[in-house]
Amino acid sequence: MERWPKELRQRMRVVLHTLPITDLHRNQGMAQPELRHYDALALAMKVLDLIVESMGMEQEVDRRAVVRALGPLLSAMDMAHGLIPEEGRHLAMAERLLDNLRNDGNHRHPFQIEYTDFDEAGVAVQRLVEFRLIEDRHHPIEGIVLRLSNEAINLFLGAFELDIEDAQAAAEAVVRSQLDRGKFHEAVQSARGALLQTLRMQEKIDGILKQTRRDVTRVDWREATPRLLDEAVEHVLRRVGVEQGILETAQERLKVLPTDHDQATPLRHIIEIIQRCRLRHMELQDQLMRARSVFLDEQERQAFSVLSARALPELGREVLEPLLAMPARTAEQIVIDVSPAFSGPGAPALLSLRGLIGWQLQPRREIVRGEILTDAPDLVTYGEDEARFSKEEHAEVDAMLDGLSEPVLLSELLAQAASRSGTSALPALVALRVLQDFAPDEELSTPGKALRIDPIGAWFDAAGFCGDELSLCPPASPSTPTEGSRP
Amino acid sequence: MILTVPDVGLAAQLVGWGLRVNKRPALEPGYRDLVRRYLEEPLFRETVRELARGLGLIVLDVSEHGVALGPAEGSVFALRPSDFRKVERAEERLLDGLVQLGIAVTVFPRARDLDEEATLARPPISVQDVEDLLRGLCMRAHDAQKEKPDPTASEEEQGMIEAWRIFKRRQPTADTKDGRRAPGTTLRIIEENLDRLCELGCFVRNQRSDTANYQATWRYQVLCRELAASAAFVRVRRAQKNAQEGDA
Repeated sequence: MERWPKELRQRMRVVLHTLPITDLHRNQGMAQPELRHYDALALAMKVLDLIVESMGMEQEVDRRAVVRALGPLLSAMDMAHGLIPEEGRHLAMAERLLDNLRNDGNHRHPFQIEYTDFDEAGVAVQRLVEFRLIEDRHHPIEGIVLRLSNEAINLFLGAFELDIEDAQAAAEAVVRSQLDRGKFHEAVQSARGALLQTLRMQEKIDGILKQTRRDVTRVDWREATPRLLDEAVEHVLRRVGVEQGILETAQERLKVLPTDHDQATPLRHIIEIIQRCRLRHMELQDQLMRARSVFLDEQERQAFSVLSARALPELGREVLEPLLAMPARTAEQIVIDVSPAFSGPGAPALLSLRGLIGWQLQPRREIVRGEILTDAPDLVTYGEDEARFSKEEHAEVDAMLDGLSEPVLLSELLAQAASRSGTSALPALVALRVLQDFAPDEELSTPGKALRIDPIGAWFDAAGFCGDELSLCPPASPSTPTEGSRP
Repeated sequence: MILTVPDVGLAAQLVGWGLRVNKRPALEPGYRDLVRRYLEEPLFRETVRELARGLGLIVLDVSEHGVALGPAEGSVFALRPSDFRKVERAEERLLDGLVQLGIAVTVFPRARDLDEEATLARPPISVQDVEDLLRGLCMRAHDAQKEKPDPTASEEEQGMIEAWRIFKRRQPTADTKDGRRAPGTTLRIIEENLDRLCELGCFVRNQRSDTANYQATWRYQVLCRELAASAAFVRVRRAQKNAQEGDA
């Protein structure tokens, strides 16, 4: 009798996959005091069910959906312990649950559990099983959604006898589960997911063949690729079986339904999609049949070429650390060369003449009235700024100038103004008026009224002003005074 | 199957969609149809790839998530350092490059992380995570060099001092009146680089309470996995080899 049948190892591995979930239950006593009354295991079951229900559908579950779905269960647990349900506490518990199921404590790396196995000679060997339960996945539209790993799906759907890492089995289990529940739409969504998997597989095989054509040594044709091809063949055969099942069930349902029934149109749609899936699988089968001959042809053709193969590097140890140790100038050149690869392409910014002309020719933007309330402006009379000289001062200077009956020197006039007012304002106004008359503005001057003003070639200093002495003659005055003719 | 001239136009359209990083096939019927055609028709797929190659672009992946393109070497689509951050000094360019690599290492700390599918979302990272990683590596390099003499002034002038010294001498942070990160500090440089990567569709910024974290997108994961990691490795290895030959 075999000492350690391999089925035992298989079953033990399945049990190992449950440990993170049972740990949740066991460690609940170590949670924050306010969360200890929650049953983490029951909540984890709900989370797994929620995710498996939505997988492959357009609306998948994210963190917020988990929090929403757990709300009623958490409230019920609160009330059972005489507590008032509280949103913040619910959120904290949901976060704790997801953190544990995703292994956040270990940077979301896969769970690693060591176990004892026995080899054929009966020698105990320590082995390590590695798996994830819940994964964060990029959603095609936006954001991150939660999905179960293949292991978690098989575990949750009770497939203890299955190879627990089998992706295909996981996909089928989802479809089967949905069909059993009469959820045809969900089954089709899952079938679409499986089709996508087929397309990706097709793409992957295509990539392998291209790589083989470039360099046959960079593709593992000893183990990995033949295994992939075998898996692909198996995938195609299984898919055809599953799709046949969906197709038959859908066609049977369609037969018994009245033509105008609500479900008739979606069922026809289902049949159409499944037929498309089958067509795609036939194409993949064709590709698979030709794959091995590509390898043989290329092996013969590239028999003498020498190239090396290499896996993906460890960015920290093999790239960043050596780079930091390099001379700055060398490192700078390297980072300039490789940085574009890390940021992706960007369309060069160029002037679009068409865009520019279009912008320039676009009609004036219509002003939508009535949207913004505006206050009526306060109207004020223009030109009433405060004047430097008062009307009285202007009148006094006018009187002085108009009163001139004979020629007078500017210095005399300034001294006279200073003595009359006692301030500097009147002499300043006299000086400005004299300057204005010295070079009159044609538009403003009144013909026949302006003084005749001439420089006499002397210098004056009076009433705070100084400069070239001027002679001011009234319009009718015949002569010009000279320096020294007056005191 | 025969490809017509309008089909070539459609192939070019798909490349165009790939350059519009914020568009999703699921939300753009035209984009979605072209992605489906790419996946289903080998001849169309080949045309798209060749057309992209002619433009200096590499088709890295096409799926329901969209088209992930990478710039070929010397491509007009390759972003220059000045396109990325307005810097003129060589030292700033070096810091930007180190930060770019630091971001990639923070997202993919182990080689096996790069091996995983690009649809498996990596855990989000923060500015502080990148700073801690780079500062830690610099300190380790510093400790390893403790017994050696300090660099000379002429080595400094000629740019012959090690790159880690450039990063290490920069302060991680400095006080500002408005509480923001001071310009020129490493935390600010990392933040600016991550924000620019967000604009390029490589990350999504999530603000939770006081701290922001950055979630790598499918596009960024594809870029690193299919192009950047290997390109950087090859370039570093080449430089190491040249240095060894120079020493010999």
